[in-house]
Amino acid sequence: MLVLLVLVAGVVAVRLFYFQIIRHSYFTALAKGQHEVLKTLIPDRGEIYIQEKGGAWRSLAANRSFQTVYLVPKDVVDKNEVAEKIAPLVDVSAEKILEKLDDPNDPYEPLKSKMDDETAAKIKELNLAGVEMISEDWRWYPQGSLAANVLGFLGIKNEERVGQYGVEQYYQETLAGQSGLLDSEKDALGNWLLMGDYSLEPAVNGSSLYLTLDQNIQYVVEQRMKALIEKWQAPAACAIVMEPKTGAIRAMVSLPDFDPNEYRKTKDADYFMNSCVQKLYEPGSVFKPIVMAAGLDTGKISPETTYTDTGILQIGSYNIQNAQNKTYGLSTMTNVLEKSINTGVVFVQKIVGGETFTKYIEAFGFGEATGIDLAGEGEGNLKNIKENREINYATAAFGQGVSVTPIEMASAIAAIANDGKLMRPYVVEKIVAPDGQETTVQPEIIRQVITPQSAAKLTAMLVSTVRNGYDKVKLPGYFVAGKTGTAQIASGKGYSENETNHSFIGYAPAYDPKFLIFLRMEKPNGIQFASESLSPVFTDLARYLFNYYEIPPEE
Amino acid sequence: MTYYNPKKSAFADKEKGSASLTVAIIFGLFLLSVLYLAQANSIVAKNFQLRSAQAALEEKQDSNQKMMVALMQAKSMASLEGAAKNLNLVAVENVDYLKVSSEFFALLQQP
Repeated sequence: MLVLLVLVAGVVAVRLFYFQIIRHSYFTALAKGQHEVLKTLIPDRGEIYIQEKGGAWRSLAANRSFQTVYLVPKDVVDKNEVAEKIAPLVDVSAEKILEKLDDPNDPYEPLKSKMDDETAAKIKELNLAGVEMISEDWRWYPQGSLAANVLGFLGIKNEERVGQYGVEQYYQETLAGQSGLLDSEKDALGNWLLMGDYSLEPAVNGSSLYLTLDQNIQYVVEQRMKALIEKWQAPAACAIVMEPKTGAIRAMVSLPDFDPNEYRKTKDADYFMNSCVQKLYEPGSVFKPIVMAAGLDTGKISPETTYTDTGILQIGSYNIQNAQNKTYGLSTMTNVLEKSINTGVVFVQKIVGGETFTKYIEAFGFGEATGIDLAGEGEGNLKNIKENREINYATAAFGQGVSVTPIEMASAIAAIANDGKLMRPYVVEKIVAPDGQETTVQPEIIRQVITPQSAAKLTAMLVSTVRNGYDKVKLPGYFVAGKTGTAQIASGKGYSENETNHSFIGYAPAYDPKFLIFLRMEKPNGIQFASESLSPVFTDLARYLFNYYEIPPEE
Repeated sequence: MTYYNPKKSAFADKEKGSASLTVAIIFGLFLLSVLYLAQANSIVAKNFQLRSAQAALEEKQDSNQKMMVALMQAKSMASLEGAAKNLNLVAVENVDYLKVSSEFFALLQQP
């Protein structure tokens, strides 16, 4: 009897030791969990706004509650009825819904998130057992795909919502804010006891971003570029409208684009990329003003300097020729730009010298990131001209063998428009903290690349280029500076015979520039030259901007 | 004649005092209980009020958000373009600017 008692007491002691000592933390936590709420407080993500003339701001990215519908299979009475009635509303097949309802003990099966209010109301009206809804906060882009490649989107990475691409990624920390923590008591129903003890570390909401982009300009540029690639069946295009004096970006379009509300439905991840800042390409003749800038600034040439074009230039075993094998004879430097003479810019590059030429290219910002506040900016590749080979310098003079990003190209030409000062391009004008404190982004001069005198001479040459070189640019009364480029595309060890990249870069009013427009179209079909394909779009956009900014004609 | 004048014993006083103290304690406890119940009741009532105020706030925030969403959609470029088309509005193409000449200014200065 005594032995039995000792045994029972021993078993009790062992169990007590197990519960009270070994599993102490588990049961403490369990008890705590029954009467305490430990909740992470999620901050509101900062919003993103786009501007309009007159100081108005419109929402580009906001936070919004959406309904999420889910199934509770164990509560479903008639599986077939649920599947049939819900399927058309949530855009999920009835078979798939039946699959989700297979396990009768399953307490939760998500069906569809981010539902619009109308569909949510219809589902609610059905009043089906086992079909439930909860409200969830999501990022919402009210303008759809407008400026999508500048914005990026709020995606999910490692089960956390993080900004991806564009400003959403670049300003992730600023937009996200800081999460808080609530530790408090709860009642029998699990509700927070409002009058009970609690410890609260409040969440800090994210700051909002106010972009330099102008809604109207952005929209018009997008529409024109979409029509352009459709017309010429081009796979991709990009456009930048920039304020040369500050570096503020007024529009930036990268096509094909995507709808950030439905980013999961996007066909190809490449669509998320902003080709204006992330894609390298050989610029072709739009690079020629850079060579001229080096020639003018070193004093080795003037706009009136002449040379005789024989149509062909031999460098080692290579022959440099003009487009369509044309010969122009005695030509001034202005003629070189007007007629886009390859041998002419090689002539300038040669008298400037390889080392100085490279120095100017680098000073214009090529080969390094511009510092624009967008995620994943690429930087040009100048490897070829650093090999110190004559042929590489020569081809670089007409924009082949060097690769640049469109934003590098636009910034460099903007420096010519801006009295030789290279500005850092930027897309965020101000950041507003949740307490209302504003931080305004100031324009930033990177460096003085060429003298204002050289810049003025080059601007005059580029005005002459537009007037005498491109009959499709029709903007009577305005001085417009510009240059086109039709660049062959590198393919294997040589260049493709049929495929080209078209570019047009121009600024106006040339002697007091308010805007710079950069256009680029990839591999258009059925048109040979950028002066033909892009001039009408440039004219159209420049006319729109003259009207929008109310700039009267100068002549 | 001898009279017996019974004196109040110290023990009797103590007993009486103790009884008063007991009554006082009981009364105090009763009072505290009443106060506790009143306060608990008031806390529960306030909790309820807070909860319903919170629900009302959430409802208002929800309808406010719905209105904001509708406003943002109405002001979006796609919606504005649709409205412009419906109103048969056309884009501005060529603008003629009025030039104010210096003579015009001089004329104004004449008495």
